Amino acid sequence: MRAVAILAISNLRRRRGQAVLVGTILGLSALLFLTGIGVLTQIEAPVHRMLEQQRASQLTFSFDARIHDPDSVGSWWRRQPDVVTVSEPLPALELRESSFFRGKQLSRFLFVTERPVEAADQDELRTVAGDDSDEPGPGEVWLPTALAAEAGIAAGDTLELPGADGLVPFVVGKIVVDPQFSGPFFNPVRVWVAAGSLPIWFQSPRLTRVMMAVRLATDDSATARWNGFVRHLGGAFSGNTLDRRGVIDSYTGPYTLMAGMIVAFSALGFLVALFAMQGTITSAILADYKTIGILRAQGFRPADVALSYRIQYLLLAAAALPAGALAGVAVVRQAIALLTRTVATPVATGPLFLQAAAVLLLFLGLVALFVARVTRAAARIQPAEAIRYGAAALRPAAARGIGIARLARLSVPMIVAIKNLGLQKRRAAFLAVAVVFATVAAALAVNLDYTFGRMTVNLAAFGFDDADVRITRAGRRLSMRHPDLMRALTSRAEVHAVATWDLVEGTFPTDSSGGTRIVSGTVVDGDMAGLSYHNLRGRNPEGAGEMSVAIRTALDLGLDVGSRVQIHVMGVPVVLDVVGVYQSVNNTGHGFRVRLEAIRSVSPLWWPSEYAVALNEGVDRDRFIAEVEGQYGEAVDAKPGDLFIRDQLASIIGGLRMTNGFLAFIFLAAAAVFIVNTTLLTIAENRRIFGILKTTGMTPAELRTSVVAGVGVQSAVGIVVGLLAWFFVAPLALAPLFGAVGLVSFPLEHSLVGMAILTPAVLVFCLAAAWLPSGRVLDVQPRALIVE
Amino acid sequence: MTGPLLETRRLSKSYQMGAAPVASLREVDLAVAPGELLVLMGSSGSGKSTLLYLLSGLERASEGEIHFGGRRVDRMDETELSLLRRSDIGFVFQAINLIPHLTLFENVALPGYLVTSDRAAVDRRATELLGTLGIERLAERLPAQVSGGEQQRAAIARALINQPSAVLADEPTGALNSAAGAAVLDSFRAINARGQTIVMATHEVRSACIGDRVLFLKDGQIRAEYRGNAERSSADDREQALLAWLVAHGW
Repeated sequence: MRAVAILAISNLRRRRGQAVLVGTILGLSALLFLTGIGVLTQIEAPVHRMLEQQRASQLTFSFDARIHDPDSVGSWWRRQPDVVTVSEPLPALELRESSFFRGKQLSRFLFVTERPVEAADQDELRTVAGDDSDEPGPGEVWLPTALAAEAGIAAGDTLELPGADGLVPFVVGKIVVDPQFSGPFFNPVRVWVAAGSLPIWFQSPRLTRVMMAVRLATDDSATARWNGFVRHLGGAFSGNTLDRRGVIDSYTGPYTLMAGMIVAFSALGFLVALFAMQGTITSAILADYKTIGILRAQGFRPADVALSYRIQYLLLAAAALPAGALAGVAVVRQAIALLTRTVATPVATGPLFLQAAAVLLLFLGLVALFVARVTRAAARIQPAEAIRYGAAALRPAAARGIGIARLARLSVPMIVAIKNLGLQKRRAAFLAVAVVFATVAAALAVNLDYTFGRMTVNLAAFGFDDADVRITRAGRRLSMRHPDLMRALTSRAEVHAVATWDLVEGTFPTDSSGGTRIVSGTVVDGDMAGLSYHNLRGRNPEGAGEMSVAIRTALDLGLDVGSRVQIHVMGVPVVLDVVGVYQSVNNTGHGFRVRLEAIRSVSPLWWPSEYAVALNEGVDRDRFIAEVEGQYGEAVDAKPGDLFIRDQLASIIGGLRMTNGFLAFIFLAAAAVFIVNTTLLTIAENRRIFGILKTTGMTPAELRTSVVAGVGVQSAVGIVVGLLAWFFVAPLALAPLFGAVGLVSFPLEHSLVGMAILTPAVLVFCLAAAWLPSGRVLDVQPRALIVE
Repeated sequence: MTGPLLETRRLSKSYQMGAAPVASLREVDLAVAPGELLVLMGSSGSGKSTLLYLLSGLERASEGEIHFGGRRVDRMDETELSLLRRSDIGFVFQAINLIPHLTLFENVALPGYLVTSDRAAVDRRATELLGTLGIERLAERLPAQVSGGEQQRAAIARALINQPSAVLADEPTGALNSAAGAAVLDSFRAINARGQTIVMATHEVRSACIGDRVLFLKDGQIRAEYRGNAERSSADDREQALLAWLVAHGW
């Protein structure tokens, strides 16, 4: 055993270069896998911990006090057995006009809520910056971390909120972690003002809204309790609700998607690493063929020989994998800390180390199994043949390949390269596979970047409308009626189409036992086709009794074109036929669209106030906005159509771009490592052939070119296959990935320019990765040719 | 050309073995005339292979000069050495060293492609050489599919494809049985008869007998020179005479 160990360690030392390369690939794959798994499984942990520490409510809901009586709602909840605390009804006002910081519109709308004088034993606010007061002072506002970070607002800054008499300056007293509203992906977002200040600054007819929250003993009973509450109300709740899942998704949703992508790619990365290892082990056995024969002649058993190789590569894995796993822990920790910075809760490393240990054991086990399988070849070597003929005894003679007559137009280095490829078909295939992955990852990064970059001019494909301008019917003292504004807008020559996009909550039945789900819907009056409201199947609603539903809502609730469902809107039941199913990334694929007539049939006093306007080709948007605001004054508030969406999606898109870039980098790095490894192995295995070629007069440059050209051919094949895979397989693969957020038919756009740059860039990258180690071929000494 | 084709002056080569240099060749002065068949004899480690590798520029001399057709080989850079080898030197090895995944024809033609873009002409010459050496029918076979002697004749054809000024052969019959070895030697004799300069290293007396001149190397130095075979008609006589000379010089 000692002899076997000595042999294994000496072999590792002898092949330091290869050992480092294989170790690097293994370590990288462990790092990548752990990063994906770590982010996927641990990113919610700081959020959970924050929710626990700050005694967050499981259910937060707002409603109009004229529809549901807050006192009776509160007393119903307090009677429930597992309810810990119920908040007082807090006066809250959702501002429908933009707020400003340093003259710039905030990208999110604000839910201005009065902070109670007596702090409740739930939903504690944790101060990140600002004074230590218990409640906001007059003229002061407290902001959640995400909003402050996004807009660059610090404690002491002044924020302008749209009050009854125009913009009202509020001093930012505190930046706080508000359990339900500090997520970066939530709109509208709650801000706090002093108790009693809403009627002073915002004399709005909508001041009848209140927000309540319920803290339960366990998360598990939240759905059942909520359904019980809705049943208590006679099957309908009119208002907004936010449950624990929604809160957590508002912190982590898109990052989970990215982590899923990393996990999928890292599994492929580990496969590539195993391929690389197989090639390395096989090459090592071939290179040591004669030595193995000599060892066998000296009394080493076949099992000893195989064991020496197993020890080599297990030692290598045992060194590389922990390094990768430890680096993975650091990367995951940093990534989670960065992604959940608005939670302001430290990332616990204990679970990460446990996870790293589990990944380590899994990878070591897989490597051990793989190595055991590959090294069996060493045990089968016959000593006499090996000593006499070396590895030549193993190689079949008939590896003729393409005749050089057919390659006559190529240069000699290229002929040599192509002929040599036939010597290591499997390794050539592995290298091509590594390049396929790198190409697909790079194409993914380039084209998703392009697709997301064009999102704002292609919003309809993502489930939004195609508005160039959004107008809010905002005035109080000087207002316009909805029909008048619609008529005024549609009659303008610059306008292509107008449609409203106000939101209402609909309560959908989830099952026959009284379960319900509140879904946010869009009330449309006007030209839906003109605003590019597309459907996956069916059509847009045309009458009061019709609706279209978003794909995730359709799937979750078992709805499709032809379904008929009774929902509650504003507490009133309404029966609607589903006439269309659409996809939308908005609300992660949940929602519905109804015509204005449907809403007015349950609430004749309800009028929309949000308008999406599509302009004709060539119309100057900014000029149109200025003209509309100039014409109607404070009766309207106009802003660019993509402003809200662009800013809201900026962090998600940025995250996805970063993830894709990271993946492309990892796969290109893996391909580079693979190419360097393959190049070195090719030179090492074919020293004799290169020695012969050197003797026959190939110059150093020609020898080097022949090595690089071989990699070039394999890379070119990999790139072509990668591009084909990208064009034909990627759309199919992206659909389930993005289907989770409502894009079952991902509106992928291919960047021709990007691909035109990417394709040669990947090839040049591969050639460069081969060129660096190819200098080793110049060290080949033909003297070796006289020895055997 | 009137002077020697190949010439060395005080040519030395030493290798670093640990801390100490070990001399493989010591101050060798040598001149090879055009059209000559020179044989280098010596036991294993005598320096004959090292001398061939130095002459072809495959190894660098530690000291001394090498002249090839009037050019200083020892001052050439790697690219110049490669160009010299491809056009002026053919090399034949004891281990044959054909490229295993190329057919005999491809092994012969490939170095020709390095020299000229007229590949049809190279193909014709490769076929002609294979015919001359009696292995034309084996042209499309891989090395592993023919005998050692046939492989070595293909290696000779490869060495000749670019019509080199000199062929350097290192133990060309060392790995062959006697019949195959004899056929290879016949080939060398035949091409030398057409004016091809050949420098051959061997430790076999029978092989050395084909030389116009035999240099006996020992411990990296030329110890003696033998020129006595031209007047002897019988192969056995030549072998006996050379053996006696070798023994007299410490063989």
